[in-house]
Amino acid sequence: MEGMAPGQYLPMESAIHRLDPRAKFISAVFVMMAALTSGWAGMGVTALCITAGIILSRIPAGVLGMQMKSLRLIIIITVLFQILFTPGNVLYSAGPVQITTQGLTAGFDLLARLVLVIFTGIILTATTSSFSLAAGMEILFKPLDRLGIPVHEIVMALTIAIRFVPVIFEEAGIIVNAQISRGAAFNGPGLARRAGAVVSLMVPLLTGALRRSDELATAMEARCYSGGAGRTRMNALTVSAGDIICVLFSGVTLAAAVILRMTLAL
Amino acid sequence: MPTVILEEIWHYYSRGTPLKTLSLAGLNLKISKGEFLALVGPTGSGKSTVLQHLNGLLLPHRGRVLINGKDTRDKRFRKSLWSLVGLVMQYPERQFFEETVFQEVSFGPRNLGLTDEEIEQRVNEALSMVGLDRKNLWEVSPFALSGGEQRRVALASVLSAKPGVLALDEPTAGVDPAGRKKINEALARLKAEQGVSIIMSSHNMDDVAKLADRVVVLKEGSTILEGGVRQVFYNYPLIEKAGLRLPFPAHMAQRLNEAGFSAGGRPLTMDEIEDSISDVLSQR
Repeated sequence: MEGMAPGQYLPMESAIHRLDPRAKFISAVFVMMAALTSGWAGMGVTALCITAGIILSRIPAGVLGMQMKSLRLIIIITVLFQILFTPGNVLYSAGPVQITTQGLTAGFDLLARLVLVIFTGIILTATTSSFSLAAGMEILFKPLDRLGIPVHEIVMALTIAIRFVPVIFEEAGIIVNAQISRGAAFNGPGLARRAGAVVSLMVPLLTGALRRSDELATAMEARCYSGGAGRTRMNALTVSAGDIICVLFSGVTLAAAVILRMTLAL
Repeated sequence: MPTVILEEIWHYYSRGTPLKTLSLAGLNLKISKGEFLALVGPTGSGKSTVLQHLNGLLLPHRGRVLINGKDTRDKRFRKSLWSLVGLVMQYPERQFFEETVFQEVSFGPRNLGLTDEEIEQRVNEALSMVGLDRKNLWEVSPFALSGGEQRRVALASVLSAKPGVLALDEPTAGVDPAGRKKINEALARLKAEQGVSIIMSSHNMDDVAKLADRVVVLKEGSTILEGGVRQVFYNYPLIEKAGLRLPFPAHMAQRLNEAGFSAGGRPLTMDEIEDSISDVLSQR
């Protein structure tokens, strides 16, 4: 497969990788809030905080670039909409298309915020495996159990779904190859033949997914899985000094962003 | 000229990413018309990669693959390549998608654009080749068959395109002994009756000894041993080095020789080892 999916975990060693997923999740929420609520000065502070995160997490610049690249379409479209559809003082117009000063400002403002939020997300997902992230979120959202929300079950279902994405992708590749070997024309001419090719992919993919989930359910039952009640963890999460520093640091960033905006309007 | 020629082919997986791994390192291979070649070697040695080069699913990053003298990199040629080189992938029954056995097996011929009459004939021939010629099978769902029968239907669904070269990726893996026997019989008949060139990867050395003319032992993407079945299976040091097991008769002969009896003639079938044993007994 070419390129890199956004949100891919990078199994490496770094100060950020070692942090508790709960601390990382809370910090990421703080930093994203800072990025979204701050003024210009606050954005600078947030950017510094994120830069520190990137350096500490030791994510290679190339990987950051690749993950960013896979999101470029969404970013470009959002920013273009902001630039083209904000009313105000017209700077340039061609037919129905108008560019205004306000539109440009809003566009760049949005672009900066989006980039900050996405970088934060990349740091979180690149340094935290989906399993440990799920474990952290399960504990963080545990209080919702009292409202009758089955937190453990939802998290378990999500974890399994995430775990199976690459498996299903690989299987799809195998099936496509097998059907091409029997003359299926996925890109060829003729709509009917193409439609036939798609069916020849979808049906085995679905039956394969059902077979896998059936096997997984049996395997879980064979291991006496019975839902979340009374379950303990093999690797209990513990809070370290680094976790506290991480949350404090991002908390201060958020506070600084808010205070700068509220008091000095920066 | 050999039907299939692989010239110094190199192939990498995930090329252009940090995960790049070498899968074939300058491999040379030739298969003549009507020859049965077996590819053996440990998991990850490149067997499946070789097979996927034969029908153009994969293209070599260096070197070239020639089928009937034509290069697989030629885009136009590649369009018809699937019907010249039939590829039976691992666990091919997992690619079933039709409602009936007839439809499943006719998928290839329909993609060839044949007439209904020809399609029926092809399905009929392919299913009898794999020993499933009961007519009432045509309207059965392929998912309702036993594992061994499913595998044979999958094999038939490739044979129905009448390829001159057949590439099989561990065709008997996960099939019960009865099903295995039927599949092996079908392969032997394809070679004998229709002169199909066959290249098969396998972990089952007894199948290889029984079916193949020539064996190629792969390791880390290159050939470490190549030759006729007897030549290869009686090269004990290299077989051991490649981490392969011997076919039962060869193993038996080896044990006899170790025990001080001389079991000559390089036996590879049950009949031959029987003869060797009775020779040994008559020597005493």
